[in-house]
Amino acid sequence: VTAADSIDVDDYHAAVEHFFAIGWSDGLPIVPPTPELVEHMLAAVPEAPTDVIATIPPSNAAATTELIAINAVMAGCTPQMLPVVIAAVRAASAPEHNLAGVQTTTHSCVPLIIVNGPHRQSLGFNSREGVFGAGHRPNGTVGRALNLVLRNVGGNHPGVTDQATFSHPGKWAFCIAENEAESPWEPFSVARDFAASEDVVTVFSCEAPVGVIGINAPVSRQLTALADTLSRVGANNVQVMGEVLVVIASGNAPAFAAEGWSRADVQRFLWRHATRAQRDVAGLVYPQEHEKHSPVWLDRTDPDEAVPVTAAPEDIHVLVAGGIGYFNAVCAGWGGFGGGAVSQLVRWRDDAWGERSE
Amino acid sequence: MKVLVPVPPSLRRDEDGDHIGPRGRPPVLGVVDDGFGTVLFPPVLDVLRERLGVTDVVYHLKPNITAAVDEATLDDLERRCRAVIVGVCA
Repeated sequence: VTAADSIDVDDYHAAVEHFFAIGWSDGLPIVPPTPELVEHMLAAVPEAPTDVIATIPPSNAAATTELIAINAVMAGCTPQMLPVVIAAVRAASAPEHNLAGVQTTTHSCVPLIIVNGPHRQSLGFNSREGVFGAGHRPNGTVGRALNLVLRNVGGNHPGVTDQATFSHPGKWAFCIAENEAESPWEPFSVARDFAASEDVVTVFSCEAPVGVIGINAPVSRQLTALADTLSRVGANNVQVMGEVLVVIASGNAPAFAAEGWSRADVQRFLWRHATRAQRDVAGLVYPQEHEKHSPVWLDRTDPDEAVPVTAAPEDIHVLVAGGIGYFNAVCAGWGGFGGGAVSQLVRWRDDAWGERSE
Repeated sequence: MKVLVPVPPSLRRDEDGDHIGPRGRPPVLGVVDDGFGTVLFPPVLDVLRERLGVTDVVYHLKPNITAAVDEATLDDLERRCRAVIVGVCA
């Protein structure tokens, strides 16, 4: 270390206050990134400190390994978590994610990190009760680290370049793991063409989760309720398509297995039922935006035409997480403007787990 | 106590905000407005006028958010302005 600039401060408290004052914090106290802590962090990854992992809009500045490590220290990550943060930065900054738009839109989408793979449990990621909430260091600090990178390296500040009308609390930390062990389906990452033995991070920019009730209900009833929530007129998706995320609670997953629902079955059911009549959709966004993002087969002259929430069933992402099965959850996306799911392999040092990362 | 800076060197100049805005004199600012700027831009312009002495604004309002800006307009903005704000907002 280090290509990064350094400053001298009196002590820990002075560092925290300086970071608040100068706008390098997300509004919560940070862990002061001393050279020693950052060096320790950098020793955990295969990348060199000066390697450029991505460029982060709107500044389009280079996010080097070292800058990401500095922000990960600030967020409270352990060194073992840095490879996950780096994968998340890579995923978020992929061109198809349109991070420039995600960072600056008036919409409330925030990059959600979804962790899959064999080491999610050894790292301690929560995939059950309160999965979107507080209480677990990996979820909290990895999520926070990505947001700090987007803020500090991207130069993105609310009301200046970040024009989100509301945003949501996931802007502090928004990271879940899939409950692969209790899912009736292959892991979400495997459905996205990775091997089950690989650790994978998927980033999908979305609104905060909305719980959808379904206590002891048959699967078709649960899905009907989910479809109703997915197709709310005020969400971007029914207006301009894009992608959505549906999270089936761990407690509800056995019912899906017992009734023989595949993930593709769920996607098709939701896609067929999560629709709104065109007359309900009209008048809330520019007509040309609706027209641009809607499927070409949609008859825009028919006010009764059923408008889907995505252009295809595959754009409805389905995974298992959370606790007892009183609720499932929906996270609406930004729509066809961007923020769609992008997955990246987590790259470990060869000796990270006492074995080669295959 | 030494701590590392979490922002890239290019952004450290932002700490005083001095580099923001049009350089040169007279500071004429170009704006390409996607339609939302009529709401969002006035308070920004107030700040730029107060802090940077922006004297004039060449304002181009797009007919809709997805419309392209023609080359003649871009040439005009380039010729007349020291900086251009391109509003992309959705």
